[in-house]
Amino acid sequence: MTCADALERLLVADPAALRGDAGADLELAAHLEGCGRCRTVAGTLAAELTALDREVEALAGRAIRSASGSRSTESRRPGWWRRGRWAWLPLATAAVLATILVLPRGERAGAGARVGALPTPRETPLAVSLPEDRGGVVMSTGNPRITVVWLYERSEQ
Amino acid sequence: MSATAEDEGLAARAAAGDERAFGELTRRLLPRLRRWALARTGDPDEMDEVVQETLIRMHRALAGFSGEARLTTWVYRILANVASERRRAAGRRPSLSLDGGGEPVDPAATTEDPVTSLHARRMAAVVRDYFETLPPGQREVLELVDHQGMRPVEVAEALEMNPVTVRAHLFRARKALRRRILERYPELMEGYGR
Repeated sequence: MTCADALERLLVADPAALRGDAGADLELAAHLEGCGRCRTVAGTLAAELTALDREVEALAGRAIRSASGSRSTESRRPGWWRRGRWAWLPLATAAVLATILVLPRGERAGAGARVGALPTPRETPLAVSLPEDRGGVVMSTGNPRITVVWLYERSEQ
Repeated sequence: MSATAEDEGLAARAAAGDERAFGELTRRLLPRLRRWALARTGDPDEMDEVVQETLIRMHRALAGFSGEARLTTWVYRILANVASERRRAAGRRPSLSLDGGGEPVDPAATTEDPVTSLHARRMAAVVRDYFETLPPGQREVLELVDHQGMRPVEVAEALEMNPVTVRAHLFRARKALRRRILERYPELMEGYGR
């Protein structure tokens, strides 16, 4: 295999082959073993792709936190309420968002879901404490001033 | 128990009405769904919308999950449909908005160390290439195979695409992205006759 052949192979190889994994590409691994220049190219590609992976991870995973409560509480809601609870989800989300965005900080303290002070953008994620008798998921958004909170009633166990 | 089996166990409990299981399942799936939605839409704001709608539809449809396909394949199919519908409805091309907290690299904010600064600029360019140069279909396949570890045949099933097309997208995406990376290291390319 020539260096030009190896380069062509490096452009399309599995990520593991860039690290010289013989299981991914035996011939390429043998060439990299004996060729410092191609090994440097392979290492550079591997490092850049790993860094890209981290950047995409950071973009996609900003402050994903599950806020599911740990205590199970038996629901005493009537059946019609439990069956229809997910229909309330968009309304609940809108209500929480409205609370976060509209109410002044002082009025938010002590409300049903306790919401901390608005963070300085890009610094601290919004702190949300959920009521113990509900499950929920807290999702950050692209806007640091907006956090989406999903609330749902626990089903009877 | 494997992660897949755990996910499917949670899905079965959620389908039976266990909301706590659904919460846990959501927590486990969210990072992967967000990455894929970002790769598909190229827009962090749209990513949030697509993921949220996907989870709502997933919850509604869980009772009908037969287990014939893997759970992630099934959920990804929902996400693909949501993203396609939203894109058709919006009638616009996806675009990356790097404003706000998710900006990956801000060269101006880095130290004045020229090596660090050069690295930051190169990284920002790679991220831009990933989102702006790669066609969405290629980027999506690259994300699922190279970053999320799915096999091409699973991707083909999730995207309802011919496996040969999946492989073609994958090779084109790898080649385009890696070429762009190497263009920024001309010193490495000396002697390769290009």
